[in-house]
Amino acid sequence: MTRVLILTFLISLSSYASNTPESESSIGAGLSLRHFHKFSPLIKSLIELNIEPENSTTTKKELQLGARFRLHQNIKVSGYYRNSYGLRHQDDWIKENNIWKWIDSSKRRESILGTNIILRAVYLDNILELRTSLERNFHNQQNTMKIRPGITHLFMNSGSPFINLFLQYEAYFPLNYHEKLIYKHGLYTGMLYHWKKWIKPGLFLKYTTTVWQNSEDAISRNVPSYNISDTSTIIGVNINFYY
Amino acid sequence: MLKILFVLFITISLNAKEVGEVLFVKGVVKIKQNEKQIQAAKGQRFINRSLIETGNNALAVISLVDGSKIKLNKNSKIVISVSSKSPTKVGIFKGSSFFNVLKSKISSKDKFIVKTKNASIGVRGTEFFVSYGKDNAKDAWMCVNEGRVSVTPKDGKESVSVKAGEGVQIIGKKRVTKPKPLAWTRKLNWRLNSQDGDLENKVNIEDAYTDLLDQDYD
Repeated sequence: MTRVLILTFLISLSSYASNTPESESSIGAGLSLRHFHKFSPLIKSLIELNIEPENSTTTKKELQLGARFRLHQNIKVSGYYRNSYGLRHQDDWIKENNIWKWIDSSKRRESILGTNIILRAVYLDNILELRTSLERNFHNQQNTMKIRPGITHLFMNSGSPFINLFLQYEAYFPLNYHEKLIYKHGLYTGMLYHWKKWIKPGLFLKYTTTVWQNSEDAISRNVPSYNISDTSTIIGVNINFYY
Repeated sequence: MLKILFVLFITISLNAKEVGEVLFVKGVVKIKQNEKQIQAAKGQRFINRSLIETGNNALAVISLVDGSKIKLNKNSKIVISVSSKSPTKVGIFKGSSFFNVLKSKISSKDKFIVKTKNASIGVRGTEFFVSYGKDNAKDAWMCVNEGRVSVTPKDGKESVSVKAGEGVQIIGKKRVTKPKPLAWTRKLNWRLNSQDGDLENKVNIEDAYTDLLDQDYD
């Protein structure tokens, strides 16, 4: 009888532990390729391909098409459409075949429509920037606002930049799907080498923290509240093409 | 009749008076005076209303009787007009030049005026740089290293005061941009004395058109 009681207690403990996701801390490599085309002094297109780890098990792959319009010397607005694979969302934590796990989203295509406004100012050899983006994910109807202040320092050669260092902080504000004010945030830093007019390679480092709270499935199954943070460190290469 | 001859004599005398000297020459530098054109040489003096022109890869530094110095960069052309009754005038026809004007202790009025095709630049003792833009006659750039300069567009009414560390673009004949620090001017070679080092200015005026706010940095 004692053995049965102990065994039941141990089984119940393991079930309790497995219904909340574990904090993940991942490090990986990323690649970002961008193509810019200037149609006029006011309009520029951007095609962007990003490949980087989304978490310890899935790789995020994104293709984004967009255009930027220069409204004012210090203001640009843009619109874009992005196809993403491998994104993780809070509600991807589910119970399937009696096992709690994250959905494998590596083959799940998500369409995201976004717009942003970019404010810039020059101070000596520095560019100050504030980027505010609004995105709608049509896969799960989630609306997100992203705010990204940043500073770029330019190393000049005869009046033109030849290398720049940048440091940005980005915060994700969930507008209709999370209890936290900011559910994801991180630092994005790196450098870009203005090698030639048509190609500029660079390196970057991203450090992001994401907070997961109870998924819909967890709520429906009365899982006790959890608040888990994942961190992700990505070291990557980016190349910008201009033609 | 005598009065006319006297005035003519004074005018000619003034024009024939030496107003400056060549301090440094590199490459082809021509001085046109009294309808004659000669290759400039170090130590050579020139008279009022002389036209001084530098060729490709050439450089010249001249001094004026008032102690002011001018460095002409390559492919530049200026004319100098000195008068006892009015400020010294330098007309720039093309290219770019550095100016070092000695501060006048006597008068607070503009001691030195530089004219381009689209503007007049009044100087009261300062160090500054003037250059035509990449479209030559359509725009010009001016920046100040020391002192203060007043810029008046040719068809404009208001002057713009530019202080040390700032620069302006003169667009057409009517508009002068707001003075501000210009990143491209930080590498200008302000040296006028060959004993201090290399005199050549390597900043390309095309760099003035680099729009830092339009570039991508990540």
